[in-house]
Amino acid sequence: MNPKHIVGVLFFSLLAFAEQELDLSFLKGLEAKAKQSTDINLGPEQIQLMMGFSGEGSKELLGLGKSIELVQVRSFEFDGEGMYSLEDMETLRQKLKSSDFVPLISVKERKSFTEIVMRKGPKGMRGFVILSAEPREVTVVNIVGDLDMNSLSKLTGKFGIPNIQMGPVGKGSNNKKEKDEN
Amino acid sequence: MDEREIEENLRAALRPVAAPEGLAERIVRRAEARAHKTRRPIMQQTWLRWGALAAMLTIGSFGWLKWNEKRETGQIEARRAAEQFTLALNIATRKISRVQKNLVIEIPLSRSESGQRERP
Repeated sequence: MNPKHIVGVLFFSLLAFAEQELDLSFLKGLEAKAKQSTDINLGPEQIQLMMGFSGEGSKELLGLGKSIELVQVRSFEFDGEGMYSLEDMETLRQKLKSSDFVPLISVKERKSFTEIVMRKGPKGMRGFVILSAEPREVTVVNIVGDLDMNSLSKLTGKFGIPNIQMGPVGKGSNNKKEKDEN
Repeated sequence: MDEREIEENLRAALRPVAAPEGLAERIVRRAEARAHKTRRPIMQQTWLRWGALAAMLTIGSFGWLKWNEKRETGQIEARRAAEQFTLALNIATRKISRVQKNLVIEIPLSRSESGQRERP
């Protein structure tokens, strides 16, 4: 392969990666105000590193990790209301209304909203984004990869992940999971 | 000096002379010692063999220590990444679960069923 082609492929891969990453710089500085904050950035390098993990339950986790390219999480919990700009979250929400995303669930209340959008890919869905703006909590989750809601639900109930029911509901399956959760 | 004289002188010079006692043994011994010294490969030198073994053990131990250190660091980083990944999934699932709970709507299956339910 011509070195120019390799450089070109690398450049476009980086460009594609950068496009998938959400600009969450507007959330910077909230750590100081927050009671509790979570900041997770897992790129291809870190996910590759994770594949070397050999511990309890690593099989399921690595099986899921194989299909993931990027994980971005910002979550802040505050003592009081009005500690972050709801308008900034609205701006991000508007950005996700482009043709690259498909809205899945949108819940809007007076002072809060939650939005789940699926990312479109050439072969189907390529992950999802969760935006949750509550009076005392703000969360953004961006997962890029061949992870859909069904594969995520397979991991629920393990590693402290709560049980959820995704996809078609079978007879009694939901009840069982709810009981497990309780 | 005539021809005859030269011949006699030459014959006298070339007459067989008995070798000093033990010369043959000395020559053989010296030749053997020299051959022993020159023929022995460098790797057959005892001190060199021990030195090489010690060096190999030192390099091997150092390499193993480095490899082990790298493996342990890799495991720690891998565990940290796995923990972060699990936490990310945890947060995502909690949010989905909360939204899901808000979306639960009870829809009656049919009119007759709903009618039966309404009756006390």
